[in-house]
Amino acid sequence: MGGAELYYKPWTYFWIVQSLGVLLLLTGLGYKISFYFKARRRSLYNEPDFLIMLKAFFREVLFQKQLAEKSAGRWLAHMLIFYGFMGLLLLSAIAVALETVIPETSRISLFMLEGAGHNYYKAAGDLFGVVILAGLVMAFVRRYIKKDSQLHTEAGDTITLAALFLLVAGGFLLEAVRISMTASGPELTYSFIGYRLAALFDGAANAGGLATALWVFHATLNAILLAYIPHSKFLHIINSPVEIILNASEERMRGDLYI
Amino acid sequence: MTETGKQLKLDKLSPRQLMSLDACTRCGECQKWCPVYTLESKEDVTPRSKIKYLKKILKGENSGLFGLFGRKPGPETLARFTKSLYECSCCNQCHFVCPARLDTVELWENTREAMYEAGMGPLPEQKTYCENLKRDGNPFKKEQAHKAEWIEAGLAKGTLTEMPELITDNLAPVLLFLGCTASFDEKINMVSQHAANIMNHAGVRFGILGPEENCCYGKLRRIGDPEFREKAVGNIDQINNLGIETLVTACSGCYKTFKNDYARIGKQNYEIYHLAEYIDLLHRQGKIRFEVPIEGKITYHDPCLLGRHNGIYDAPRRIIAAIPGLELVEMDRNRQYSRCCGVGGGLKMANHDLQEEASVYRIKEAEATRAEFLTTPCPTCYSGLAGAMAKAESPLKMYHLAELAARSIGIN
Repeated sequence: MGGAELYYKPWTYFWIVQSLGVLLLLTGLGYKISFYFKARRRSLYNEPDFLIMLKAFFREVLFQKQLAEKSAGRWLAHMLIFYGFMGLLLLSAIAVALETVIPETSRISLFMLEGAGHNYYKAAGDLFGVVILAGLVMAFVRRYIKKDSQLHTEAGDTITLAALFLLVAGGFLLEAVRISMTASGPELTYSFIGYRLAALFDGAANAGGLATALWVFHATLNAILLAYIPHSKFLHIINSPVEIILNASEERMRGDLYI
Repeated sequence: MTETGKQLKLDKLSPRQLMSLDACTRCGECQKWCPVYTLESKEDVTPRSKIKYLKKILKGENSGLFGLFGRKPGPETLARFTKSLYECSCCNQCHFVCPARLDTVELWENTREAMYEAGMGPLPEQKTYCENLKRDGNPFKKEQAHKAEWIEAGLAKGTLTEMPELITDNLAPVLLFLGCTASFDEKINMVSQHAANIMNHAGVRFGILGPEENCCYGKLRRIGDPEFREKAVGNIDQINNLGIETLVTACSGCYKTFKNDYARIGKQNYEIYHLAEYIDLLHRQGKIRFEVPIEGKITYHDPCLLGRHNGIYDAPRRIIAAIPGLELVEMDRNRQYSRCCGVGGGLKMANHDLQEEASVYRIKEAEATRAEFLTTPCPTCYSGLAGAMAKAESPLKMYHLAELAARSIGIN
């Protein structure tokens, strides 16, 4: 969305690596689901209670009340990462839709690509990026500096935080380089982080090459993360909400969590 | 398959349980609350570690095309997993604090069953326990014919007010199912006498099974013995055939087994109450009155199998509140956060010292309330805590809840 002519973007590489990432994601998820359904015992013993499941979805998945009750700091860190991630995912979905489904001449395309929508999109991207980085910094401090006694760090935990950080930070740097190559204008200020970081690259000798390298890095890391999701703690993004919702319905068997 | 050639069968687990292994984020909330971790401070005993090892073992056994998704775990992984899986009291605390609400105890018990069938578990002491239990029909290595000896002893001492009738003779609508500990254990079978006395006093038409009362076999389920199902079916049939309306059990282990485990195996044509609930019901119906004061401060230990496993927190507290003179002071960890005394889940057999340490820890928490008395409605917790009180030379005086109720009613 915008700025496509400023520096070289190897789109063929992009589509290959993203397709591979998506393919590995789907293969990994397929392997996981087929593994889960090798188990033969019943998963549910009660008739599903959809109302209580819906309540649990809002209360424990969207608002994460159960985490808030334990620690305000942990809740805030997780909410920032969660909503930052969801926001960036939504923006990516919008970008893909504009690229593939929505006609270029439609009003919405014109609004998003050339109108005020483009500025709002850029501002939202920076906002969600900052939100996720703030959450990651809090998580980093808790795990590696404060060394909270209930954490037991293994490689997978570090990879998860580092990968998300690199993805978001790389995105900001790419944006900064792009802005540094762009003729000044008020619309650039909507990218409020990238705009400020752009000063770092003013007068850089090979800004175009750097932008291309960062673009390739960002795309590659994104694809690697997609492939990594089913085999890492990232899978909790899907499995934890499902477990919370199923448990909300089943919990009546035992007692008082959802009364 | 592991390097030992043994394989965990997935048919003992559910798709939801396998899915839950990937829902764990290793946040460590379980570690913070785990009663065993409090004592050992070893990462291996935490629920998140058990999940990690189980994932590793199952990934090794289901490694996909060309073993892409996992390697066979070595004997060390298996040994560490086995130890952590069985040195757990299945207290359900981890489930209550888990932000993803993983149903941990159900997972441990089903995994234990898979381990049992694969010959990878349980620990030798637990295996012997299961074999004795199946052979004798009770865990006390005694003949079933001796199960009603508490009656003669009580009548002789004058502590049992009336001889309870066999339900097969009086065809009463209420079965008092006492459980093995409250029948065989001489230090605890006063619970049976108090239960029978209270029911007689309230005019409840009840009977007991006496020597015909089988163990509920709940420990087989806790340890993972697959014969549990067959034994449960036998008990359900036997009790259904009595035509009773209500089953009252004095044991929270039996209660959990009837209420949660049997419910998944067969239809039970009767209502199930724990004795604490039933005494509370009789009191609320005005059939018993607590009139004799018992002066002093008392603290209450929530048994895991009544509290976290079945949501029974208020009935015992209502009884305490109704007894004149008693003042309830709660321990820091109470209700759904009550610290496990360590006796359940097969931990007592797996590591007796650890269980004793857990009980002593709980006694220290009770002492910190500055209460004079400690009470619990579970014969098994009572037994563990009584041992710990002796070991810790605690100044506390412990009463089973039924004893407090009986005293305040004016029986004995």
